[in-house]
Amino acid sequence: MKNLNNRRDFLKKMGTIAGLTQLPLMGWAEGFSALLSEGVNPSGEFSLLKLENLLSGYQYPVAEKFTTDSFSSGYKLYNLYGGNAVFGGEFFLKSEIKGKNRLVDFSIWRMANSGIKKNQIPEFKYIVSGKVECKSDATLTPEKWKVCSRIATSEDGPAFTNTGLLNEGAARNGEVINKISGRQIKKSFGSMPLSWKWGLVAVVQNMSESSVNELQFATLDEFDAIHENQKIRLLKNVKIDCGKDLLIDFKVFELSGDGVLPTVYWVDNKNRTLFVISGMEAFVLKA
Amino acid sequence: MEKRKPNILIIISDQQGIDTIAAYKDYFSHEAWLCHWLKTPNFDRLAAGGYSFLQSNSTNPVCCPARSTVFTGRYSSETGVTYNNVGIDEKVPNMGEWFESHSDYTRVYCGKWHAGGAWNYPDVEGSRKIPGFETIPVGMHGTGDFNDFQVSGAMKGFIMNYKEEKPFLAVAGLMNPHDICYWTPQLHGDKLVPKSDIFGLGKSLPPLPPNFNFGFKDPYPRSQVNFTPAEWQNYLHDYCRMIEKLDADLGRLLDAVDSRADETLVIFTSDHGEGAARHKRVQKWHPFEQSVRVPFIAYLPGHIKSNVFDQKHMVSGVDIMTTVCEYAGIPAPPNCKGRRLKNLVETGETKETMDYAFAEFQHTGRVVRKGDFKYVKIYKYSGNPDQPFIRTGDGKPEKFIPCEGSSRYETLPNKLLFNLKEDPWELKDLSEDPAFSAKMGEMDTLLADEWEKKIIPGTHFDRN
Repeated sequence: MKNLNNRRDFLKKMGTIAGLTQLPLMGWAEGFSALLSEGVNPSGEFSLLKLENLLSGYQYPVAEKFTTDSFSSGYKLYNLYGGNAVFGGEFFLKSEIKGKNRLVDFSIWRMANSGIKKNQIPEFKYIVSGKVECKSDATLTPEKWKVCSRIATSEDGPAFTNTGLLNEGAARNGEVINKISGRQIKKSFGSMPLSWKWGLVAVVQNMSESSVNELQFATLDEFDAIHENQKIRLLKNVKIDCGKDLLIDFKVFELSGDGVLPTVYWVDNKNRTLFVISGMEAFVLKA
Repeated sequence: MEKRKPNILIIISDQQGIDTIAAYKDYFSHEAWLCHWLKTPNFDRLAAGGYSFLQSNSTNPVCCPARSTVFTGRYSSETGVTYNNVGIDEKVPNMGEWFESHSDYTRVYCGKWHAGGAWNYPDVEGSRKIPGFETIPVGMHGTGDFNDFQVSGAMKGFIMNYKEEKPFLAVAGLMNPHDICYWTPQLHGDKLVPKSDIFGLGKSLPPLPPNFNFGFKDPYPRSQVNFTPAEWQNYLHDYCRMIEKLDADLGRLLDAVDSRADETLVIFTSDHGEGAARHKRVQKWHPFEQSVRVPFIAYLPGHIKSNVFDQKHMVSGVDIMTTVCEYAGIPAPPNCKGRRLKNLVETGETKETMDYAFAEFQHTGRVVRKGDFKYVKIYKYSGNPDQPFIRTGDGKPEKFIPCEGSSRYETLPNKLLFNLKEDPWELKDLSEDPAFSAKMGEMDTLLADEWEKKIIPGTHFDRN
């Protein structure tokens, strides 16, 4: 947990995304166009339409295959506003083995002034970061976490006016217990398996790797809200020919349930979640 | 020593109709009401611990006008904010300014303001700062998907960390379920609304409402949309999920409030409702129930009666300013039109006149709710273009351009009458039925005597 105090190093390290290099234009746009022109548009492609302006210039990240337990990935966040994907933040996730469990570092920041002209307001960010100790199981069951959130102008900047929170929590026996500012808040999630919102990009990678086609669980949303009756299922397999000997097999998963707009995950044949598209928001794996 | 006044937290959502709270199922029993198609544990918790007004109205079902009323206690004709993006009359103090000059409350605003003028996009400091409030700089505009958890998270932080002696007045302006606006074809619905059940949602897709088709002549068809039934069902499904996302944000705020040792009055409302396929409509703007009727819940455990679902007393956003002033122990600003609700929500008794409520829409539209009836009257619009407004693109003032020209309301009929008890879906307009001519006259008189004659017209004002 001491690394939480050294967020700049963490972000720098995560930003390089070990093992990933980038190829020049890999013909993704052509492949995407071809896909649509073939009329293959029953489900998952609907979600890609939202990224149309982005995909024309997308550079396919090249890397070794992710293993299910150890990987690191970085995403750009886009606000799907006005018919276009507009950059709005970043998300980093790093998973490693810790004994029988997994330790997952995550960090997500978003522009706090989305919709505001940049020169009208300082560049505030809403930053959430933390460490989560999870079981090495299908839903990455969160067991313990320590999560910081605040508004600040930089990764190291002070929290704006009382907005900083440190949440230390745990899940056990069907109950989530959070300790925030010395106060304890409990919530029940019943008998369903538990997962967590930011860990789902890894959950679908697990599903893809182990050929699991459906999971049902409850989700911990921002570590302080619980959405029950979540279901991730394999929607379809899609093969995209992007030219230059690059043929990508995708598994397209869909999340639906209480409190979430239908969310589509595109996992490639290197076991990486490339795109997450939900409502007016998208995460795109960085090159 | 005088007892410390309670903290006050106002939570305002955007585009949330009254039937979107699962705890209201008993009062909205038809399966097409959306409360049967969503789960709202935190709204249910607020309703169980507080006092719900089920006859609650937006005073002008569009963002800026409705919000200008909530934060001033004056109707939009008085604040001058009769349409989006015009500023509140400088003679009309907002809640922050009034509390600043009349109380020792710490005043903080977080999230969507959109109560008119340059402050629609508030700055932390300078001319765009919301007068009277310190602004927490997140989620002023944009999308709920992107912003709301920032607003609820930041406000949760503020509430849990606040340790000063003096009480606080805090506002959390949440965007959702306003995101549904972007599901309309005019924006980018083609990218957001599936044309069939591609996600295999099946039985979780809500049905079309009974008034999807209706017979009366519609005086204002602006927000009608020609979705296919499948598109409408996907639209409704996603609207319900947006409410559930909002519910999680509400839960964060309630957790923070309930964790404090002192007392915090919570008032929850929404600026206006959502078309939700009723009368084939999206969005708001119009006088029908899906647009006008919104949640209104007051919550202060130990003081405000719990688990009350009041179907009798008519309230609206205009009543919030007077009520929070009452709780803060300060007078309401001059000429406030709201009723004081403290006695009613704490004892069930009131001396206020609460058997009718008024709303405005689109400059010249008027709505009167009394008893079982709703009366709608639309005056001819002059088309006066001399109303400055602020362009959101470059922030410069421009002339106001009515979106449909000066002839917008020249199409008759200009009056509607519904019996909401017998016809909750507003299928039958009674205004031409001679049997209801006396009722029409009664409503006209009420509108003239209790609203038109008492209004002090305001003018637009912008501090750009």
